[in-house]
Amino acid sequence: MKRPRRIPSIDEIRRRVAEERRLRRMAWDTVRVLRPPPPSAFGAYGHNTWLVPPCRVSLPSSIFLGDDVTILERSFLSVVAAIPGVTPKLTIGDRTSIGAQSHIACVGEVEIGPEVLTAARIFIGDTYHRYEDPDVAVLDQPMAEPEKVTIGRGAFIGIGAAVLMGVTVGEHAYIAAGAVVTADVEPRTLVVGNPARPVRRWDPRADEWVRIEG
Amino acid sequence: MNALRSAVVRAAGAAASMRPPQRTALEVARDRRSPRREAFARHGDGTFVVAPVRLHGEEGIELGDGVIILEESGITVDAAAGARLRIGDGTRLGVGVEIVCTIGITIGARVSSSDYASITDSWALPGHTAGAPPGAPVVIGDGVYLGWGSVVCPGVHVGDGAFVGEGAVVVDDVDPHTVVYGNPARVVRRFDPSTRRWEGPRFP
Repeated sequence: MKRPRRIPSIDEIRRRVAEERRLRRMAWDTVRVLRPPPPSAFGAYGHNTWLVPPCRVSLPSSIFLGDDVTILERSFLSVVAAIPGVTPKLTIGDRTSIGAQSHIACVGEVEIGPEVLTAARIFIGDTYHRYEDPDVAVLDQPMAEPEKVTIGRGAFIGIGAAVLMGVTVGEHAYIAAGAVVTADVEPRTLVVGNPARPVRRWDPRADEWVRIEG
Repeated sequence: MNALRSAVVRAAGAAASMRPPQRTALEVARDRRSPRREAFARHGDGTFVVAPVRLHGEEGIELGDGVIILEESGITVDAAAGARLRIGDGTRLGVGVEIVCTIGITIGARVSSSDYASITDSWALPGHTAGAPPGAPVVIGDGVYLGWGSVVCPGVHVGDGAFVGEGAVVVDDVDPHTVVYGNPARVVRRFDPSTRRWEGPRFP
């Protein structure tokens, strides 16, 4: 049985229209905020480099992107001049590809080499929130002195992995999914776990990845 | 053969009609907008829940003053079962934070969380708890920092001013002013109130 259609009052129609407009405006605002800045705003922006919207970029003048770089959507390039006297610098080399929802927090210097491949939801940070004052919330404490993070040429970072401050990841190193890297990774080494530990290493004489004892 | 083919096509059509109707992008956006403040059990002044957000059970959420929850978050509160999520004044939760609350979660004041942190007080989603171990309430103290991608498991009490490192999976209670890292989370640094010094390495 068909119910008779209720005719809404003029006030209800006005309210619905206002609600619809508010929603559309909000959607547009979100799109506008999450649209990457133009290539000219970056410190360097190579040929055929893609920064897929929606994404968040702060301080693009300190970001140096090489050629053929791909950064997938919902990534956050958080480059912040948080320490007085320190100019942040984020460098991403040629042919590097970074997955969706990745977060790169740069206060000092982060250098991602060429031909690096990362999965989605990775975190690379060169600083941490200070927590040393026990009487103040961590939120209200400043960022710590940054330590440079380097990701070597041709490295791979698995899904959900984090690379913390002061870490140097060697060339062609393999960071497994979910690993939290707190110490340097040697070239051509596979690290797994939280905190990450080396598991396998490329042996050029045996021509294979050999298990690391211990 | 043609008859068989047409029967298959008809069956496929029937299956397609049984699917839930496709929702438009605008309908999905409407679902994910920030709810009106009256929907919450409490909504303090200067508090923002940034859209898009997946919220279920707003009537069980108490937000203090100046709370900011960034977009892409998912908060599920089993309000019908009396679950309560309390968030203290001035707390900031990052992008993509997931909170599942079936009993009770209390987050203190001036807590900050990085992106993609998760807090849960149950080992299963509401309505799927059969066979799952029982959950327990979670308490997060004042001034705590939750690192990127950290997970706080059921029954955990995180003390005031604790620092939960990136990717840490917290399964045991964390003392106040303690730094934990790893999966499962282990204490790497601790504040000694008598000497007012930090003991231990910075990283595990």
